[in-house]
This record gives sequence, structure tokens and C-alpha cells, in this order.
Amino acid sequence: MDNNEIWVYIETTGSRVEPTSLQLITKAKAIASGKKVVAILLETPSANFETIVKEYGPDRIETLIDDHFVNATDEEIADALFQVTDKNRPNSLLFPATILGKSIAPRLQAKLETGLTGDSLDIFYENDLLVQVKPTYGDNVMCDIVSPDTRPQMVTVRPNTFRAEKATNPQTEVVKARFTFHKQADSDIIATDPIINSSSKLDDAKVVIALGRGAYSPKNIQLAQDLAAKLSGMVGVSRPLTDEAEFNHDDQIGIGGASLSADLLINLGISGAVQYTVGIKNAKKIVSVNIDKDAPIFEESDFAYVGDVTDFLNALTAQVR
Amino acid sequence: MPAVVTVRKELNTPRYETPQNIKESFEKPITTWTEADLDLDRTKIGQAGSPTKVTKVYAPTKEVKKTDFLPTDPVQAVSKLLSQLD
Repeated sequence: MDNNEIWVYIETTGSRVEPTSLQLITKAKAIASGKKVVAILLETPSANFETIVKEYGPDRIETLIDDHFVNATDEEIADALFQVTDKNRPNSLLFPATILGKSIAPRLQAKLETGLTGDSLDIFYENDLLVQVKPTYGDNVMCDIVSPDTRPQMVTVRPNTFRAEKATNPQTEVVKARFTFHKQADSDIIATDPIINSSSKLDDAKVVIALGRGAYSPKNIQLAQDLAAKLSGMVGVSRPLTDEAEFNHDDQIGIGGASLSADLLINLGISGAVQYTVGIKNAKKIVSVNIDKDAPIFEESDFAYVGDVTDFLNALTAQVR
Repeated sequence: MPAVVTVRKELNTPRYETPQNIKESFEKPITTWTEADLDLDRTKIGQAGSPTKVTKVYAPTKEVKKTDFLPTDPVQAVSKLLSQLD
């Protein structure tokens, strides 16, 4: 059914390799048990991203090289990937669940007529079947999902779900893949305007002050922002607050938002629904404030304060240097 | 055509629902299409047509964290917290 290989899509932006792709190489190596781990890299002739990818020790790097990749559309990328995956189908194909990854993966999935699980929290093999774990919508319940009859088994994985580890592998082959760039007739990128992608910054922030519905007030927002500034941190929110004027999707933590890797997370007025807590699993120290002593967030917390958010913030602001 | 576009909420603000528009909405026709109206390969839709299958549904095992409940007075709570953090 397949070539017994795990392929990882290497996303690049400008001169940067998306860290999630490197995290996926490490994870693929850890669960491979005999399968080859292959990195798929689309780049211009002058780029040399394989030198970075090599540091994480895949068995092979397949490079697709074309000048157009400086500015290719999502459809053009999916088409190029289809050319190299269709005839020789990998067992599995892993994508970062980034904005780009989540646009390309489903396009490729449709072309390959195979299965795709989005925002998976964990992956492992049962023989040749890739088990894809994700929460069900709206419930504190997990599902194991498989694609039994189609290949490749595709999955997108959120940033910071796994850790990237450098690994020397003197056997890493770099192979130029054969394909033809198909310029898409019906759309064109005419301009790109860099913005600060604060969602990925939230993923990387060392200190995060998180606001939930229970803490939503102008006073608390101000206190949180001042405190974040003092601690060189960032303010994030649970999903309901992204509907408010002060916040947007880039500030969201949890399913569909950022996965934190912070050293310190302070949750304010957040109840701790699973859609939120999946985004905080890798935070090192978690402090939570909630007026409800039974709030589920406390089970995820190292420190708990049952009481008023504003009182806590005032005290914290006064005592923090 | 058609051009397919996905947008984020920052695109605009929905207009105000005037009483007139609300009243008129009760009379507006709503077209509904089912798979009977669309020219679809039945083997490729719905549960039967899904390449992905859910094999297990379960409650996640909770990692039991040792939670330190801070004193009820906010000033004492913060003081204790800060002494415990690096």
C-alpha cells in the first residue's frame, strides 16, 4: 500500500525553518520503528535549508527546487507535493498545524483522496497504522483516529506539541526530487506585507498572563498588560475573549490557538475547559486564579488562588520587581 | 469563478439588525440542498465515505498535579507564591 516511509513537510518562511517541522522530524524518528523518516523541502536554488534540517537527523531529505518557491501560492505548493507523493505513497505525511500547514495539507489530502486529522495532540503506530489522537469538539473526551484504507495517513500537529532534538545522522541522504512547477492560472500573489505573527510569539513567550471570561474587565486587562510588560511576557486569552474588541485570534490559547511553552503561566478567570488546557500542557509553572474553588483549571495548576482576580493582580503588581 | 475566500473576524463588523430586517427575515426564502440535489458520488460522502475512522473514544488520563492552594488573603498569597517561584 505504501513505501514504509514517514514524510515530514518542512515549512519555511523567509530565512527561517518552522520549528514545528523540526519537532515533527524528532517525533517521527522516535516512533518510526523501522520506517524511514524523510523531510520534504521546497526551496529556491540559492536557499540551503537542508543544512538546518540535517541537524535533526532525518534518513533522507527530498528537495524540490524552483525559483517560484520564493512566492508560491498554497495551491502551487500542494500541486508540487502531489507530484512527489502520488505515485510513491508514503505511509504517513506529517504537517505543522500552522496557518500555511493547515492550508496546504487539506488541498493535498483532497488530491490524494486520503484521510487527514487536524490539530492532533499525539501520534503513534499500531503496526502500520498511524493512530492520531485528538479531543472531540466540545467534550472532555479524546478520540483515536486512523485511516485504515488509504495512504498516506496525513496529520497536522500543533506547534510545541513535541520537542525538537538535534541528532547527528551521517547517513542523511539529500536527494533532488523530480517535479515540474505548475504555475497556477487562476491566482497570483501580487504583494506580501510582513506582520508580526503574535500567535507564534505567544507559543514562544516565556511568561504568559492569560485572561478568561471570569476576568474580563477593562481594569483587569490593563493590570494584565502592565504586569506582562513588567515581566517581559505576553497576554493571551481563552477562546471566548477573542470575540471581544480588545482581542483577536492571535491572542488565543488552546485548540485553534497557541500552544504555550512558557516558564510561567498565570491563568486569570479561566475555568479550564479541555479546549483551553490542551494549549498549556508544556508550560512549566502554572498559577491559576478563579473565584470558583472547583474550577477544573486548578487540576492543571501548580499554584491555586481561590478569590478575586483584581485583588490578586493588584497584590502581584505591587510585589513584583 | 467563483472566488473562494476565508476571512477572519477583523475583516469588518456586522451591520445592525434593524427591526425592519428582522421582520422581513421571517418571509425570506431559504434554499436547502441535500445530497439528493447534488451530483455526488455517494460512496465518497458521510460516514461511509470518510477515509478517517474513529477507533476509540475515551476520557484522557489526568496527570495528577500537586496543587499548592495559596492563602485567601491576596497579599499573603502573592508573597508566598513569589517566594516559591525562582
